[in-house]
Amino acid sequence: MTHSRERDDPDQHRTGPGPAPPVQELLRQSGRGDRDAFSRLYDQVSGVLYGLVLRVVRDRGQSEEVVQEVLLEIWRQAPRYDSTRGGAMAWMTTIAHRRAVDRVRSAQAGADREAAAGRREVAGGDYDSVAEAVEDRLERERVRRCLDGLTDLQHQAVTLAFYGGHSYPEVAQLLATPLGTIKTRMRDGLIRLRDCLGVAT
Amino acid sequence: MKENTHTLSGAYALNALPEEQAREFERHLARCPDCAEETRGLCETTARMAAAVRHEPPSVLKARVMEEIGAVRQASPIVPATMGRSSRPHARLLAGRAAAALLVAAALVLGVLLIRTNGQLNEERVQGDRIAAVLAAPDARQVSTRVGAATVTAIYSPAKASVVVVTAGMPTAPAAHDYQVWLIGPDAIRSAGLMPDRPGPVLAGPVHAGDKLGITVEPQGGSRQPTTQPLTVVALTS
Repeated sequence: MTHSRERDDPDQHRTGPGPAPPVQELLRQSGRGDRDAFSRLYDQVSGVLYGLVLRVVRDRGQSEEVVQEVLLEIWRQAPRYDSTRGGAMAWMTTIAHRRAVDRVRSAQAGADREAAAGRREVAGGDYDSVAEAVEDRLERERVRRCLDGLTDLQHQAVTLAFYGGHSYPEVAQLLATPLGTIKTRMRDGLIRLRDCLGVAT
Repeated sequence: MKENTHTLSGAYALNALPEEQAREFERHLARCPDCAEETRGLCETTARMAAAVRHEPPSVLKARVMEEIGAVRQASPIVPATMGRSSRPHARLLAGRAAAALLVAAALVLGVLLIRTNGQLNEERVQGDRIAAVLAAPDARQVSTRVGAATVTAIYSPAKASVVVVTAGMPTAPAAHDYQVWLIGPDAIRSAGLMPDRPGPVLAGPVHAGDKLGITVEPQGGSRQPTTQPLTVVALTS
């Protein structure tokens, strides 16, 4: 699985001098209480997790709190990661996304977020110009290009849910579209994205 | 597969399902290999969407996290080695009459669960409750088999469609390998998960009528289908 994808696999990003152990192996070692492995895991995944949380939560201070909780949760749950049920990166991303969504769905945070959201687009650009590795930029471009290949409704349904942190009934409301249609567009949109990105399953 | 439920895979992978529906969908996944396969691919896809918005956190965060993990107890699928304390626990399991052995197995499993529930997750308690329910089921029956010097005991409840597997004296899996438990039906072989590194109960299900239980050695992390000959195959008779 993870070993067959190489360049396109986020698990393989951030290789230092010599091949870095894949994220899955670092997660497994972390699950045995290996702090050194967790430290290296942090180096490889904290950018993706923080980036995602920041995208959903918007507020930097809150995002830092959330991503800290996420990393502790990953440390705590690492012994339970089961690779037969999915990739390590997907497992950690899911934890981060759930925590981020929990945060924005609480009323207090919601108010702060609306203020922050006013300064940015809901699902558009917002790519910071921090120095980014070439591979990161390529990955961004690949994903953006594939997102552009979706129909408008697919694109909006997928990005409002994932980057916006909205539930599918909320997305249906925002897009004034029946629930069943949104549900279907989320699925066929993701399938098209999956095929465009060449995700191996 | 139920087409209506199946179409929730996208919303699930986007974490856009309300809590109750998400849990319901997960229960559905356990029964629908096609849905599980598709959902897995869609979750890999959303992970790629996450990778596309990578943003390095402030560098001070790492020191905070590394300090805090020192105070966080890791969850454990691994069971304290209760069974290992007696020099030959499996001898007792084998020697006793079926009912007595069942009680021993139940006591070991429950003892272990009591230790583990101390301040731990709901998820684990739910799992523990399910295991206890199988052991307590009026129709629970037990099959023991030897694997070399080790004993594999399966406690099966047809009514609960579940089986609890306990091992004693199993050697550690070879380096970079795991033991994987399978439910072997006439048409399909389904993974029932990996054995913990140290003896502990594994709950497998749903068991279909006619299923057998098998254990294989697989590359670390497990396989989708068995890649080696089973060490043992136990018939689960209803």
